Formats: sequence, C-alpha cells, structure tokens
Amino acid sequence: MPRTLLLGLHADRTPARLRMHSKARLSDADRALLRAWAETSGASDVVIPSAP
Amino acid sequence: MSPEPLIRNISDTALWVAMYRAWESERPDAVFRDPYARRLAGQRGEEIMSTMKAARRHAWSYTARTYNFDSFVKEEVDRGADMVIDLAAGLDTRAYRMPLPSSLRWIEIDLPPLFQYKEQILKGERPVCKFEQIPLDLADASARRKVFEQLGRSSKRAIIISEGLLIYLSADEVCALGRDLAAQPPFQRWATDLVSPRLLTMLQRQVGTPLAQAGSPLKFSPEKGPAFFESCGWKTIDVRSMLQTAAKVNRLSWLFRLFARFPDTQGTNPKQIWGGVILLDKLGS
Repeated sequence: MPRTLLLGLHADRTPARLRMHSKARLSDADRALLRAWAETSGASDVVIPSAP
Repeated sequence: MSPEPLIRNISDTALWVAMYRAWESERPDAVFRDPYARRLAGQRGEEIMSTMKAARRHAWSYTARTYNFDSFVKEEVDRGADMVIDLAAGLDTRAYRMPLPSSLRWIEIDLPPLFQYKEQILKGERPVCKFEQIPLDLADASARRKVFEQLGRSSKRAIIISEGLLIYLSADEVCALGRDLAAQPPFQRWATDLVSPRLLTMLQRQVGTPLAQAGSPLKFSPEKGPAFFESCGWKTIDVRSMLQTAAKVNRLSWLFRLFARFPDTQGTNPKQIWGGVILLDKLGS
C-alpha cells in the first residue's frame, strides 16, 4: 500500500501528474506499469522513483 | 554446450499464454473456463512462468485480453459472422470452449509444428463448430493472399482475430497484412490487441530479452495509436481497455482499481490507448 501518492487530473479526468514517494510499498514491476499508464494517458509530470 | 533458452521460438509464447488461461480457469470465479489450458501449457509453460517473475504479476492483463477477445467474437457471431479467422492461433481453444453455433466455420492459421503439438494434446476432444486448421507462415505474403482469397470465396461475413500477433511485427508488416485482409470483401471486422509505445518500452525491459533471443523481439506500437490502421484499410470502432476490463471483472489490486477509475482511453476512437483490444471495421464498408 503506498504511503504517499499524488494524482492530479485534467478536466476530462485523464491524469496530468502522478508523483509517488520512494518508500511507497509497490514493486518495481507495478511502478513501471503505473509510469507507462500515466505517460500514455497524457500526464506530463510523472515522478515514480525505483523501490529502495 | 549452452543450456536451452527459456523461450526457444515464437511458438513457446503460446505455452506461456496458456498458463495464464489455466490460472484464470482454475479460479472459482473464473470469467472464462478453458479446460484444456493447463494440459496445453504443459511443464514447459509452467517453467517459463515460474522463471519470468514480472510476467506473473501481469496475469490480470491476459485475463482481460482473453475476456475482451471472447466478447468481440461472441458479439460478431451474434451479428451474423459465419466465419472466424484466427491468425497465429497458437494454442487458442475458443472453437472448443465457447458456446458457438455449430454452423460457424472456425479457421485457425499457424505454423505446422504448433498444430501438431495441439492435435496431440487435444486428441479426442471435439470442437463445437466447423473447425479447420491451415498450416501457414503468415510472413509468406503470397501464400497468405491465396489462403485469404479461398476463405473469402466461402464466407459472407467473417471476423478476423489476431491475439498476441501484431506486437511481433514491424509497422510495415502489420499494414501489409491489414491490406491483404481488407482486399477480401467478406472480411468485415478485425479484432486485435494493441499497446502504447510507453507500455511497449516497459514490456521490452521486463520480458523482451528472452523473446528477442528467440528471434521474436517485441516491436509494434504505433505512435498514432488505433488511427494507424486507417492507412491499411481499417478504422477503429471499439476499444476495450485491459485495465478497465480487469477492474470490471475484479482482477486488480486496490491501487490499480483506483487508477482504472480514470480513463486510459477516451471513447471508442482514442488517439492512443495504454493497452487494450480494438475492433476494426473495414474502411468504406
């Protein structure tokens, strides 16, 4: 379960920004999936560091 | 002597995908049941899956993909399709496991060794409809055109399915295949899966190396998204997202369920999709 997650949306509900804390409890595979999802969906501000 | 690679050739990916179907089928709340999947996957399918840890985490996307293809096939057959042409059919068992009309013609096209393996495993099982296998290398453009012409002469309305095929082709190869399909008047609809360039990059990093070593690198992901197919004779009329389908059938963790609440596709004609199955209609039809 992530400890810190920030998701900002455009008016049409597509993601504008997605930021995740490095200590978020998420595997690297899931982080990569979320990054690909956010970038495909049009987010321009995506910060998802690798798991520590 | 070096050990045998995990994935020896493109046909081994069919064993891997069969394992995903086996897992789903064995759940009490399965959204489809493929009673042949575990037998088809065999020990090698289990070995591939146990070695590719990242692949295991993405089981939901394969459940969603199978579910979406099943849905498109059912809907098109209900609309009057008399033939399903299953390109690079692999170890698909829809002709055996789906409730299809007995008058439907199901045509599988794939490489001969794959059919030999499948026949050995499914010996004694009966398809529910008229079933035919055509051994063919789809990369042979001249041979495939002849086969498509023959099939086109004996159908009034056909749906083409290509599940897990296009990602291994270049954009030019996809378009050439699309044009060959579009040349046959009865070939009205085409269902295929598609990933975004970002998702392709992720897949290349996570599972791309053994596939590339087997001579089947992951390639196809058009920057134009579904609109790519308009230059090859097809237009997109429906898009079903893997993420949103997986949320609908309850296969996601709570975090991904949260993300599935936001659109990764916009309507039926999005500029880009993250990962999904699209239904194409022939341009001008």
